Amino acid sequence: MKLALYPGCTVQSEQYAFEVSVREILPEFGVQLEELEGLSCCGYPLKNVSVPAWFYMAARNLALAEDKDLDVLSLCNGCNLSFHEVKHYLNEDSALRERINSLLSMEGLKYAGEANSLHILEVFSQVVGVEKIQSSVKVPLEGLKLAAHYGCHALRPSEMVMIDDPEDPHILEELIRALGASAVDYPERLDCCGQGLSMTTGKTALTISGLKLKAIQDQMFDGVVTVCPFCMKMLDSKQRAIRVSTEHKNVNIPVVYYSQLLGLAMGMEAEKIGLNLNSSPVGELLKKIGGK
Amino acid sequence: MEKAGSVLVVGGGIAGIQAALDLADRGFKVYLVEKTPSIGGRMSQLDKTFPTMDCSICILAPKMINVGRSQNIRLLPFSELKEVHGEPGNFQVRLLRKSRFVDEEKCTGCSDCTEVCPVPLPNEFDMGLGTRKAIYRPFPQAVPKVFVIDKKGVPQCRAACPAGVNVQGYIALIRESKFNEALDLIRRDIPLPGVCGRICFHPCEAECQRGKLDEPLAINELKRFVSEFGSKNKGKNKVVALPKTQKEKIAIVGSGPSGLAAAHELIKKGYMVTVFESLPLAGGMLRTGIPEFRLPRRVLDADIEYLKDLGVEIRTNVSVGKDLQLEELSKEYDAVFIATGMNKGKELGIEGEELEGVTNGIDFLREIHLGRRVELGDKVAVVCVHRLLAIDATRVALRLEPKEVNLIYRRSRKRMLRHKRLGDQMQKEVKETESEGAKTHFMIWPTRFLGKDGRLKGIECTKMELGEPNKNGKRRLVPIKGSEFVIKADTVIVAAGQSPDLDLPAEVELSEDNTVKADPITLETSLLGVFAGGEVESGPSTAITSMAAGKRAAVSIDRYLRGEDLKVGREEPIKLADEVSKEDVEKKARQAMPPIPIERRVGNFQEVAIGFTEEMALDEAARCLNCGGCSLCHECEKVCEPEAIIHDQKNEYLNLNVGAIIVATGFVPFDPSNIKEYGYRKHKNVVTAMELERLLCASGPTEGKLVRPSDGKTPHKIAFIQCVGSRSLKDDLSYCSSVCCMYATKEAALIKEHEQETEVHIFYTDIRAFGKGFREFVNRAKKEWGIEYFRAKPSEVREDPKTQDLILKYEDTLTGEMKSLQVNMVVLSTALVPPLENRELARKLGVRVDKYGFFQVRHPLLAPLDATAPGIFLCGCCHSPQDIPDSVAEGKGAAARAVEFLAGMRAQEGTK
Repeated sequence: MKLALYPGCTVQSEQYAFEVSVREILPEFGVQLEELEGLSCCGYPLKNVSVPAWFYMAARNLALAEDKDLDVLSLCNGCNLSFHEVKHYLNEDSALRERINSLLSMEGLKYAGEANSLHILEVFSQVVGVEKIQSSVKVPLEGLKLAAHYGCHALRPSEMVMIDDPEDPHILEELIRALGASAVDYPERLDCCGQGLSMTTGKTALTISGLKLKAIQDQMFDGVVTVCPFCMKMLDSKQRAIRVSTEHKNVNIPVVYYSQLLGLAMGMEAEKIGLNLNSSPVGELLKKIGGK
Repeated sequence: MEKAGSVLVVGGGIAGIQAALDLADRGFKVYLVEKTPSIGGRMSQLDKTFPTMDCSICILAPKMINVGRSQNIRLLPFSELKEVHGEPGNFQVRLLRKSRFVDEEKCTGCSDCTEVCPVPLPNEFDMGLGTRKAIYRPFPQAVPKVFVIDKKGVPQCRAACPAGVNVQGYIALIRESKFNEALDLIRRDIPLPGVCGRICFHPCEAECQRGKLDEPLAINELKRFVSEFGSKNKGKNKVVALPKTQKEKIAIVGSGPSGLAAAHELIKKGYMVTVFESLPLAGGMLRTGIPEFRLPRRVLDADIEYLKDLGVEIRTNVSVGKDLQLEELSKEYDAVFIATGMNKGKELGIEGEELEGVTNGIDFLREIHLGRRVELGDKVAVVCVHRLLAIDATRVALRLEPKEVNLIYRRSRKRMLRHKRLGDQMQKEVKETESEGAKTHFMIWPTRFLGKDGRLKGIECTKMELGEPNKNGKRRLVPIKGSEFVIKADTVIVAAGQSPDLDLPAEVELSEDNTVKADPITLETSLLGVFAGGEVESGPSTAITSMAAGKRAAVSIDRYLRGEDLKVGREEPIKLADEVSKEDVEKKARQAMPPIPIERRVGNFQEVAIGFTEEMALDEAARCLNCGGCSLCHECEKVCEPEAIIHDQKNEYLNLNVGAIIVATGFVPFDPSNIKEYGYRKHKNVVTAMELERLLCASGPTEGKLVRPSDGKTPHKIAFIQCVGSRSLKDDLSYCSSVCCMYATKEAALIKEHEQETEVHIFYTDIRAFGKGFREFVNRAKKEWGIEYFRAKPSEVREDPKTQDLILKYEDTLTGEMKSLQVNMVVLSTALVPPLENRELARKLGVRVDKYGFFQVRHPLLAPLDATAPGIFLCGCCHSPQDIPDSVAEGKGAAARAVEFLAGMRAQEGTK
């Protein structure tokens, strides 16, 4: 199976660990990642500035994948949503599609709607499959209690993305359990990471992050597992900022990407899956795994 | 064509009851069809009605009784409308009358049966909050007062048993400490409960539905427990011989499991039964083949003794074919059943097998078990072809304490451990054999036995390896050339399987493998009146399968002697019970039986596994999920004085001719499980309004004590969420259910009545108190009772994991503030939705339903109670959500419409 990797700006500018770990792991399961030349922004930042520009940008990336007969793996929840939304509009509106295609034709590209954008959770749970993941485990993560954090756009808007039930998802928990760790429900499970507010009211964003992390910490979880670079940015990289500028002074908990967790369970070296790039105290997690 | 003067009312809720009563009063014949066992509908489940706060059942029950007493109403409970033909004024309807398994005419409603019933099941009347028995009456005021048995089909365990032993039944009885009754119940199906409890390979456990939750029940151990209990208390329960009611005599050749099972069935039917056994002791392979540490002979003896006590004659030391010919038997007896099993050991066919010291596994075990002296050398080798036989021979040999026992197997260890039927048990067996002292050798095979002066001295073996794959890709074992070596041995036991040892006249046809040829269903042989079953017919098998064959033969013999068709109805498919919900079942590990320590095994034949204690048995039996509903334990039959129980009652159909039809199918409460954000079913303390109604009601599961489900504590702070399942654009549930604002207010007031200090908060979209006295009722709730109303739709309900309290997140839409509230219990005011069956019913009636599935009225103003086809009328919630006063009014209205339609036909069938 081949997929075109679309890392997205956040991953490329500050969340390298996600890309590193995904590139390391997927080939192990027979999923080859192809590079597409000339990829641009997913268009989402333009949504509130110029909708046609957004459509064009997103469609252009999809057209590039279509040209190579590939589906796209969008690492970022936001990019994935952007592609899904634009596909939705273009597939429904033939006039719009023609207009976008006339722009794309300048580069000799065409959008026909054949390339799909996949979320990393879809790749793990459907392309690879839980059973295969289970049998790849060399270091079972037994005894670890982990909190799953999906990120809003993995699940919403529900009509558009629908990887799982937005009110009661379970894919990520299943994938975590496949590695031998426990992934129990917690009341704050579907709470926001806060990132959505970071541009406008930074402190509120940090408070929201802090609330969630504190609740997780209070319930004696060993760590948080996520699949979204934006959530990671808040939950992993902002822990110090949360301690300094909010009332949650004791927030200190390991946060990892699911791909990193999988790498650990497969017995990969920490550096190969970018764990040295995480800001949260992932060393504690490593200690607990190594201790067995 | 003249119209019929009778009316069919579909649905026995308050609207249907009222319509039926009004029609009956006007002299029309009424057929009132209700799909549940009692009329009463949803109103019977309510504690109080709003806004008058009348006791719901107090208002309803007299009407129900009047229905029961009315000469003009024929009540057809537990029935469904299947077909409708004809035309308005003359409908031909076909009704399914579901079997109650209780005679409606005989049952007096005394409830003796329900007291002895050992099977608790979720109580639908209490919205699943409490339990009722498998034989039950939905509620005390039910009309008719007749009981009903809830049969869900044959449970998987029983279906898996070749002999159809009623597993769920005896487990239910064990749970009630009715151990003797449990034993009797097992003996309804098989005569050897003690034997089965020891050695059955228990396919029932593999199918046990509990296995899908945690572990299957220890069914076999439970059976062993009751048989042990039986033998301990034998003196108290004397078995009396069964009366001989038939004149025919039956001969059974062979006293193994199939012969004994056939004897048991036939003696129960009143025949004279004689069993012929060639050996000095009865039991067949159970006695000669199975080691004593698996099956103590006192257990086998006790089971055989029971059969003798029933009147079965067992004649030992008579070999049919030698001492007595089959022809003679056929003359003297009216039917013969050949069940001689397979008791000749197979040979390897290699050089030296005739040497002294080479013996056969089957012979070895038989001689030991008949108490004859068996000389073993110091060095024993067991050659394994048939694994189970080899393991038994090895473990028996070990107990005779030779210097060494070698177990030789041609294939790999892995292959030895992999056993389709036994599964993990095989691994345990090999491990135990080794731990008892046997040396195992894999991938070697004897090429010849070496001897001196006719006595065995050793075995020449060759090593084996996997050969090249053949065209199917399979790799066969081939000897490694030049790898021969010698194992010293003075005794070799060849465990190569078994074959029948027959001495039958030529007229009895045989199959290619030397077994007796018989009809696969009836077990008739080529000789008239001679039947064959068990291993002699089927080839190598298990005790329980052989018993099943014996039972089958007994049915054939009985039919043959009665001159009935042997085949009819023999292969009828059984209806399996549906999978039961395990959602609310807590996980609990199965009771384990400890084996006795190794040191105490060698040198004796003491049983390896120790049985359950009474406590363990009770605990284990309590794990049963009661998949089949009624367990068919027959306890109710024993106490029912009017003899009203009919376990094999069949469904019946009833054809009627009616002039008009009134539909009153009511509503069902919306199931909020799919509104995940409210956590119904996930959080224990989130309940529906109907559940709360039962919790508040004096006849409910808590006898009117308001407690929360998670811990049985009284909630002090309760929140209602309104419009759950209605007024939502999601899933097309946009309509208002019209009663929820008022019932929530009523329930809130009742909560206050129960416990004045309790805080009650109602989260509403807007309060629709539209009826007369409704607004005043809400105002009183606010002012007098202090119930708080918030205009907000909570976005989610989450549970505090420590206290199991609930936290509601909401926006107060009057102030725009985001708030949260912690409460002890949340009540979801669920919508009224049409029953799923409405669409199907409408299709049969030829009328329309709306997009939600409510029946469509012909015109809301001009014909508000008419369906979209003539002669069919609507009342109550079947066409739109409404309260009780409206339903009563509509019932009366629909009755009046039917009277108008059938004017002139009055008292044609009914009486005025």
